[in-house]
Amino acid sequence: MVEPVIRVINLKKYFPVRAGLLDILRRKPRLYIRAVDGVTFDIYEKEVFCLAGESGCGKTTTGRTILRLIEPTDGKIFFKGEDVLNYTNEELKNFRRRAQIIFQDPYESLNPMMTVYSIVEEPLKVHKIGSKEERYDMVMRALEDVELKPPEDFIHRRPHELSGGQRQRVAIARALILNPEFIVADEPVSMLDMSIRAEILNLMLKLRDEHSLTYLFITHDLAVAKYICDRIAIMYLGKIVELGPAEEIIDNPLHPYTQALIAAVPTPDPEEKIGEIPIKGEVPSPINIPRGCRFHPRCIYARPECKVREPKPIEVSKGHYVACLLYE
Amino acid sequence: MSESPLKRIWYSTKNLLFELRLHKTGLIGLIILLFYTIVAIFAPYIAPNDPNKMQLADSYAYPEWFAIFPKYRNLPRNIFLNIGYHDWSISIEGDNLSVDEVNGYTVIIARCSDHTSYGSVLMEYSFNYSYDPPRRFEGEIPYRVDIYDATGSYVRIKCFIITPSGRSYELYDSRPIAYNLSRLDAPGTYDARDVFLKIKLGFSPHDYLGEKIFNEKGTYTLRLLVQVFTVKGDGYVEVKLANKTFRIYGMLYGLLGTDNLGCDLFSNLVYGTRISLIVGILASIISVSLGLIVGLIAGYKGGITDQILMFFTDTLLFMPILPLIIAISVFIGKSLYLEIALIALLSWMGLARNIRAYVMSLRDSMYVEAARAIGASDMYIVFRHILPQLSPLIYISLVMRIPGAILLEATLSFLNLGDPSVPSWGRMLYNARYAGAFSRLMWWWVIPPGLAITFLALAFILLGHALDEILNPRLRVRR
Repeated sequence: MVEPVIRVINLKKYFPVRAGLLDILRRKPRLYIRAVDGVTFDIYEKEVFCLAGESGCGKTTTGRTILRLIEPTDGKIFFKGEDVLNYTNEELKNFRRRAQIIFQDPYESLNPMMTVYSIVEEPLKVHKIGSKEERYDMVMRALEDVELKPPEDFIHRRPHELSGGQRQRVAIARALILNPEFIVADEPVSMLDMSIRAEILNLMLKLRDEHSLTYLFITHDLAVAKYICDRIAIMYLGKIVELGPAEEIIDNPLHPYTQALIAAVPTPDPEEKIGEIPIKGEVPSPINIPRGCRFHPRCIYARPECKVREPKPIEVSKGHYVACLLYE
Repeated sequence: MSESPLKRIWYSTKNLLFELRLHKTGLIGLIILLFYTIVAIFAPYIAPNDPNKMQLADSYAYPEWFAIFPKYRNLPRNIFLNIGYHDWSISIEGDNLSVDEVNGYTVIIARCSDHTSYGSVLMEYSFNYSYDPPRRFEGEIPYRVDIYDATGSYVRIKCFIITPSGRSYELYDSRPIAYNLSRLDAPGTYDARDVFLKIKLGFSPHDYLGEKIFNEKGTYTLRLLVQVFTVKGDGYVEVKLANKTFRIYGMLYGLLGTDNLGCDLFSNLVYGTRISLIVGILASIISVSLGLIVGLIAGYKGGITDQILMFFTDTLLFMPILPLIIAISVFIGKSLYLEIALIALLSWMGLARNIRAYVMSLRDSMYVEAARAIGASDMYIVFRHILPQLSPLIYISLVMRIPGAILLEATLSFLNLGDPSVPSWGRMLYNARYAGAFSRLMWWWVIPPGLAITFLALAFILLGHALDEILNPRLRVRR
């Protein structure tokens, strides 16, 4: 069996809710926001693995926890067989070279006081790679890689002199310059104009082929997910409810939640009305996650059993997992 | 590609000065500040006197330029006489006496002969006095008497002043000196304030001797009489006189007159610039550094560190600063640097809170997280991503904190809690209050230090506002 680049086993991240003095004195039990509540998946080499779901379902937290930007509460993370959570400081720094992140908002993820050159050069400086001249060449090559051409035009600019797409390219160049093997792309195109999205997505695919990258692609946009991803995992309230090859998830959604998500994707046809979306209510608070199947208060197929028993993921077809009592 | 930090600071300072040119208020502030700085640097050349030197003229003297008003035209000026061998007109009575100049001293030698003899030397010096009566004068007669092998001989030295109308007043009488006695180190002095002298001359202790004696205009004569009595034998008596000084203290002096001790107020004003600038700038630098360090650590580390640091900050923040400083300086003592330290230690809290809040928002910003994802250390993030963002805040609070420190120092000195040996504007005001300058309406004593403090504070505030506008471009839109 092929060793996965990233293996996540039962990952959990609970954020404590800030308690007032009165609550502590009353000995109220500590409350937690269960942002990620037992997530398990593998990502294989040169794959684009997608985490999709509504906002607040824990996909961004999962991505950051994998890179150890947030310390997890529980669970295991393996990067090419190495236990990420047991890294020493030295190993962690090395891990940072091999795993990178691209943020959602290119307007905020670049320091407004720095020039493009110093932003892209920064990872090299932090890791003390190369001499001044070598670094210059590497920065130029990285900028050319992300199709900021000619790079000489860009190196002296500051982020506010760039368009959103150009900024995101700079952010990608910064992530790429250390030659990472794995990149977490946290909704990299959601802040961009429609016209630029495709360019950035194509750029990311091209870079995957050139640099043999593996992506964890986080998005709430299933259209984007279908376009770029090999496999999709749908998250709901900190858990993966359905996981499978992109085509199959989009064309043949099994979980009621996935079905609702796909029904909600608008089509660029003004004649076509968005039909009834098979979901009811609002997302419950991640502090009080419902018992049993966490989707049951909103599920139109919910049965009494759903309120009691939590479903386990079952393999419906090859590589297609779904966690729903309807299929057990 | 990347510049050295020093070069970057130089460039940003240059840009700042360039931008400041376009701000009228900032330019005015800068010019005032430049003026003060020049005064502070060249204080020894600008001030005619040491600010702590007393008795430069009579106490409470008026400024010299008051002479343009008729009422003050005839006020006494300083007359400081220093009379040496060549200035005296000397007449000798007695055959065994000789007077000569040796190394600048006037030396009188009386040789013993085969009989006891009595002789005297009369030395006279005349000077013209044409002002109103002064309140005060004084004089010194440094002398030394040596009697060699002539026990029983004695010397007596007297000093008189003779008015134009011929009245003679005996100012000093040494009484017979019959033994070797050195008065060079402790010269025989007389002072118009001496109550015994007043009584001896037949005046009331409440009179000003100067007003009684110098109540005429004309030629006054100082007379020094040295009487020598020698016994039989072959020894000799030597009397050595140094230059005699005679001083009439004027009531008009310098640009701003004198204070109650006769110190030059203008020199005090000039040197006060130094003190105020030193206190303001040092206190501001220390307090901003403290605020920056505490704010940075609390904001960046967060958690329990933050809570402990903020607890201290809040505790200090709610302390009443002035009573606290008064209490501390009463117990520890009065020193300029202690004062600076106290001002700085009790004024950093607000900035620390500001910086903490700012750092907290910066710490959670995306580009800091991006830097962390790269593998940057905390130190790197603080110096590379957080401090540069704080620099406008730091610049502005550096400038805006100075006037507060200057005012606090003046307040402390005014309350007599400052260093009494340091010539600050606050001390001038304290002395003015203490010596009754307010009730005497001596505005030339009170107003200049007040104005100097106001304008220095104003300069920094104008500069601070201009910096604020330059560094926070959003403020500029409003105008």
